[in-house]
Amino acid sequence: MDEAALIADARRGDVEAFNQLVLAHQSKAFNLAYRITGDSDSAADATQEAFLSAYRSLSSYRGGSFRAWLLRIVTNACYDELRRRKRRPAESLEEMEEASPTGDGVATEDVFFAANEGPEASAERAEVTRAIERCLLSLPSEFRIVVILADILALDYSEVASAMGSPVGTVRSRLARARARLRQCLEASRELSGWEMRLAEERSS
Amino acid sequence: MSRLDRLPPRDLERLSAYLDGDLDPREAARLHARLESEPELRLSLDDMRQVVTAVRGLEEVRAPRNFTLRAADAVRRREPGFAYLRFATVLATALFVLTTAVRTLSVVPLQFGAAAPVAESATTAALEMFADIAGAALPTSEAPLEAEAPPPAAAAIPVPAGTAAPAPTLGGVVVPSPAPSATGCPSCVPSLAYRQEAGEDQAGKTTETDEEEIARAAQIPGGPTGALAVAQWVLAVVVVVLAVLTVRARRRR
Repeated sequence: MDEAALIADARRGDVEAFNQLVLAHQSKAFNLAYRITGDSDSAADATQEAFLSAYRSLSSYRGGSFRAWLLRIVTNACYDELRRRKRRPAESLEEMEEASPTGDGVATEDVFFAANEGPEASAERAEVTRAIERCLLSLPSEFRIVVILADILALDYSEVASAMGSPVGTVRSRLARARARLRQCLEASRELSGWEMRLAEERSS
Repeated sequence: MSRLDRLPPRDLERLSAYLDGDLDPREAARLHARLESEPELRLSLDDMRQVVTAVRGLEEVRAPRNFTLRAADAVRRREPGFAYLRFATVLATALFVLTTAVRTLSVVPLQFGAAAPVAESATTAALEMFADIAGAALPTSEAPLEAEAPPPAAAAIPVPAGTAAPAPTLGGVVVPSPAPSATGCPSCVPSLAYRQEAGEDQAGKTTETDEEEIARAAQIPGGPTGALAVAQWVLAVVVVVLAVLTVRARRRR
């Protein structure tokens, strides 16, 4: 059954139809929440709250990308959740590192590290992942969200704009500035920890 | 400062959009040409590409559970809505403020309307004297502002908080409790006789001082003023209760 039909059924009160939409979108919704809050429990609560809220306000969905509409509700739910817990996203970084579902072995593609790496390289890779997550969480919220939506969830510009309630031009400039800030933060991390970006070496060779 | 921070904002946006394939063909061709001839721009593009690749390389996290709804959860709970509570709180607060204002201002109109010309003249005299007293209470102050006027004695005024508006205007005079029940006749029209008796009761210290006259003018018990006092107290309680309920409802949302 296609998405439009499921939405129509859900609007008529069919919870099962809505649940099919939930299953289709819950991964992206949870990932957005996790990257905004930096904490698995808060992200799960916010995601659940967002789906409940989405079901109850289906009448306000006016067409367009259902996923973008949903992710906007998730974003708002995340901020409600953070307010409830009276914590700033950056403050939950330690918890995020401890509880990270990615553990200590996150694939950050071959840009930084070769496929066949030793224990040293593996540790370095984990450090890079932590640095990226830390830098992401250190961004102001409007920059963080645009990076999450565009680069992590791979939404196109128009969907990002829809999910953020901003014009495409704003998305474009925010994304560029956010990437520049991330670069600056990662360079600072590299100086502190001493690790090198593999690509930089490749480029110079 | 990184290389990207030194880039003009327009170029930063162009590089970012270029990496996302979001430049139109003409703009992309122009950027290609520049990248050929500007090594610094090329390095900036590489810098940004690294960042984008790094962030995109973050592994997708697995949701700890399904977020499907149960039919029972999906039904909206029938609890007092936050919006209604908030409206009720605002309304009750407005009524409280209105009651306070009316009660504060009613000292003058009540006497005009109900207490005969004697009361009228007494009020007028009291108001005139207040000006003198306020001036006298602060001899060093050229402009005795109301906020500065109440000396420590003002704290002894036994008037409920939030209803004390008339008292501080008395320039810090110690005012006895209004105590409507003391008259034994809550609906009595305030009379000069009462005020004279009250004045004699107070006469231990001085007789018919300016302060006492003003104090009496401000505390006419019973009648509409007494009813207003009760309403004021009830509204104060209602406002507090509604505010608490509203805050709790807000947290539940």
